[in-house]
Amino acid sequence: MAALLPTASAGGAVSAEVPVEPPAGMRRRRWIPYALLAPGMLWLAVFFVYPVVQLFMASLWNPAGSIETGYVFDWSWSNYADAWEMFHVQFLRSLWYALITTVICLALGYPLAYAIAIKGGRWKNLMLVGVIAPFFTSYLVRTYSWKAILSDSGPVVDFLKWAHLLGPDGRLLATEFAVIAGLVYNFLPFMVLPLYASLDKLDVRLLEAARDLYHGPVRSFLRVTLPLSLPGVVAGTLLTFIPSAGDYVNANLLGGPNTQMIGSVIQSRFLVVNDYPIASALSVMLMVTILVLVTVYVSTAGTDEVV
Amino acid sequence: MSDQDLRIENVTKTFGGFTAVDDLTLTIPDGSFFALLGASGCGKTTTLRMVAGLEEPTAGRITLGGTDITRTRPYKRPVNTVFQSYALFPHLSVADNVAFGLRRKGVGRKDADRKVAEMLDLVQLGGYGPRRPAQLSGGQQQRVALARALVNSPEVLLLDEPLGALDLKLRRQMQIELKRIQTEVGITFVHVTHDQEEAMTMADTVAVMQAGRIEQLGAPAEMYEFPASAFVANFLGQSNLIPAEVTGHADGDVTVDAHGNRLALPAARCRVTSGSALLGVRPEKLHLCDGLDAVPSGHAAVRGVITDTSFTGVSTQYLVRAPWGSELTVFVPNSGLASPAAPGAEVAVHWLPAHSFLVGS
Amino acid sequence: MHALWRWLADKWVLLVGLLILLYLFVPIAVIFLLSFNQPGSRNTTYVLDLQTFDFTWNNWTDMCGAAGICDALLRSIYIGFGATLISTILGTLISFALVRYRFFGRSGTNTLIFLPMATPEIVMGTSLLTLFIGWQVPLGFLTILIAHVMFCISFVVVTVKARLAGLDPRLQEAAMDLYATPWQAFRLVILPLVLPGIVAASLLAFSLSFDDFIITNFVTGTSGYETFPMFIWGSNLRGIPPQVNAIASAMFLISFAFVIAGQLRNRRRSARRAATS
Repeated sequence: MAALLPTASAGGAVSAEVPVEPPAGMRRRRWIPYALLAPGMLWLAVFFVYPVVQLFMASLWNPAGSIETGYVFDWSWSNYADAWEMFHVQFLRSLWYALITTVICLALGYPLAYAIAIKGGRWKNLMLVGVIAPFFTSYLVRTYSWKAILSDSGPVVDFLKWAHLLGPDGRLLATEFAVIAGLVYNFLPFMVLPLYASLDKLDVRLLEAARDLYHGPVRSFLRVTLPLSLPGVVAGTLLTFIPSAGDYVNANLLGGPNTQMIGSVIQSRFLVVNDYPIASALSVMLMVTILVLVTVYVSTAGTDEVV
Repeated sequence: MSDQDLRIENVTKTFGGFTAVDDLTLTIPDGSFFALLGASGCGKTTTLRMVAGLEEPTAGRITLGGTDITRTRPYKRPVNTVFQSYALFPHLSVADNVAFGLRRKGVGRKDADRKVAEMLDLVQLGGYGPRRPAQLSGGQQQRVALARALVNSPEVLLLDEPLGALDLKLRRQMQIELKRIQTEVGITFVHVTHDQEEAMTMADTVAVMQAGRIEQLGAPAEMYEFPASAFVANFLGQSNLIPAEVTGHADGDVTVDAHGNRLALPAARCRVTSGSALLGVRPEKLHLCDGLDAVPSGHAAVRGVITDTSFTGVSTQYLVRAPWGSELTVFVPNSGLASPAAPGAEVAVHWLPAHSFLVGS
Repeated sequence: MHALWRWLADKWVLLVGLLILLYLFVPIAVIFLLSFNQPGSRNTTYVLDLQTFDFTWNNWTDMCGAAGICDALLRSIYIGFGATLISTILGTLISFALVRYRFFGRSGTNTLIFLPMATPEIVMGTSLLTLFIGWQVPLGFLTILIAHVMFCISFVVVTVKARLAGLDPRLQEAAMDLYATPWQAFRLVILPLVLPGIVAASLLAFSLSFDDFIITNFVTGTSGYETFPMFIWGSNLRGIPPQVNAIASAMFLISFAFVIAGQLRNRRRSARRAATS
């Protein structure tokens, strides 16, 4: 009978539960959390939120101005139309490249994360070190190294020519292939790490039970492993897609004029052409597009364990 | 009553709209082994946490040896706690865990080392000092938690479900051990548990709590034999509770009518003396015989049919269906004196009226 | 044959995983290889052609040989240390507030922490540049440091938060029950237990800062405060000195050695623990 008594539902009072709050000795001072937050959040407010708002304002400046003469804020929404008009090809191309990159990273990253988490055994940690090893060198140097690998006299091109997969004048550099290969290489660890984190939490006994239940590795994978690793898939795809979409290093170093991405456009509009209104409009478009895609994607995937 | 008693006076604790402890008043005598017994959510842990200083009462006050400690910070109270699941510091060795409180109180390293070694001996963990908590078994961790609290010689030691994580056999062993240690050190132990057997085995005084209030307080045997309410009757052991109507008083007895059966019991065994009530008898106080004719004189009795028997070793449990349809539980010791009855047999259930009790319904 | 088949069925995932791992190492191996090459001309530092490969130790023996290369490296280290120190402190404070307190505005705070991680770096770079130009802040060390701290904070918060959330809240209560003041409870119990998380967060912050190019490219301006990635980017036109490869290889070796040493230490420690119990 005693056991059937309804346990109090009102929060931390239940004897078996630990209150999340610190003990009474500390809780009296309500200002403490705000004091802890203040410096960091202030930093983010001043150097992230405020600049983004200002970037939005800059995207509505009158394009007739210039750095020398100054800009006038007059709600020039036409900047967005102009930006789209001029650069929608690069804009859509960036999203497209980022999507392909994400799909390939998932295809490569999932088996790798699975191998480490489930089959890694005592080599688990060493393999994880291997995944983050590329970070031990410089991002730009890695990308340049790809340039060497894919260079016109490099081994990959030689092999493809020998196998007649590439014509005598064929090259890999300055093609979509090179840009996407670079993106995939550079962002693969961002896919593997969250995937590993969610696969590592899986109970191996659960997988064995699934094998009993669903007869066969494929069905048990589809019905148990994959759904349970979904939070990792969501986090990994976001961490791959977002930086790929805004990247311009790979496109600049490995690509050519026909593979220019929106990052390169923004970069040159800002730093070379000094066309602030259009560059700001492009930045805002990129950010809003990504935030919308992320929100839709996360709510569709039905998980909020992204962070 | 010495002046080192722990007193809880009219203490209330609310969390938002929920009242966890409701106007509780309690005196815990110095040197006693006191158990707060109740189901989860009854307010027993909240009470303990308020004594420890980890929660602050919404109203009321707590005094220890006459000093008001209601709002004293936890680290300034001469009170230590053995936490549920122990809360040992995983980054410190066993010895450093035990020495933690002493060092904070400013005891020198040498003295602390000596006291730690003594205390580890007391809890039979001598030589385990250099290990880490993670290297110990559950029972050993429990002893470390106990040593860590006791070494500070607190005026009151609080134990929050200390044996909850142990398996049954180890639990029994630790119950005896705890009792031994308490006798040895003579410190007041306040023990929170939901396990009635644990409470009864160890404590001098048990308080049964429900919904933030104390239902009954007393020595375990006293409470068991004469529970104050239907809740206590069921929470401490098992009881047969028969709805009854008080019909009269005569010669120090109270007569009741239970489904047409006129039964009597001493007025001293009645918590209520009028109106609707529950007549209670413990299963082991009930006896079986072949029929009403065979009932010894002076016993109260009802007829019934055996519906189920189960053999539990020391006794056999019978379920007997009374004429009004509900079932009575009867424990018959396997003393070899009576031959077992089979299901379907017509019997009479009888008891000494002084063994029954009357509580409010 | 049958046994081989069974072995393959069991291990093929592992084999595929190892192949992908190998792929991650290919460009690193190429960097090593090129660090021993004397490029024929300025723009052949990143050409992989065994016929023109010209072996040399010079890039390793004379790492600072290229003008400005080691200055740039030092600048990256300064910025990295500064950004790590500040962002680790600020981020750790935030994660303590988020995990250990319930307060008004908590979910808003969480969103604000998440946003910088969901924003492409180029957007952060452009918006910061707009801000600095608007405020007429001279671009250079300070603006780079500000930017790096900004994008590191969120990663620190996430890392420390994970460690802190796994901590039993009773430990602090136990400490305070054992006469530790809130400050002592923090210093003697909470901090040592959260420290591995804080160390991990600071390593992450350092590597993010040290390697950042996209944002840095916007907030450096013409100040000449050239970090190592900026140096590489800037050398693109005048030709990247081959020492870059030697430095990148050395960076790799040092980081790798650190991590492996840490791993071995952990392994030995747990082995010792297992032996004594």
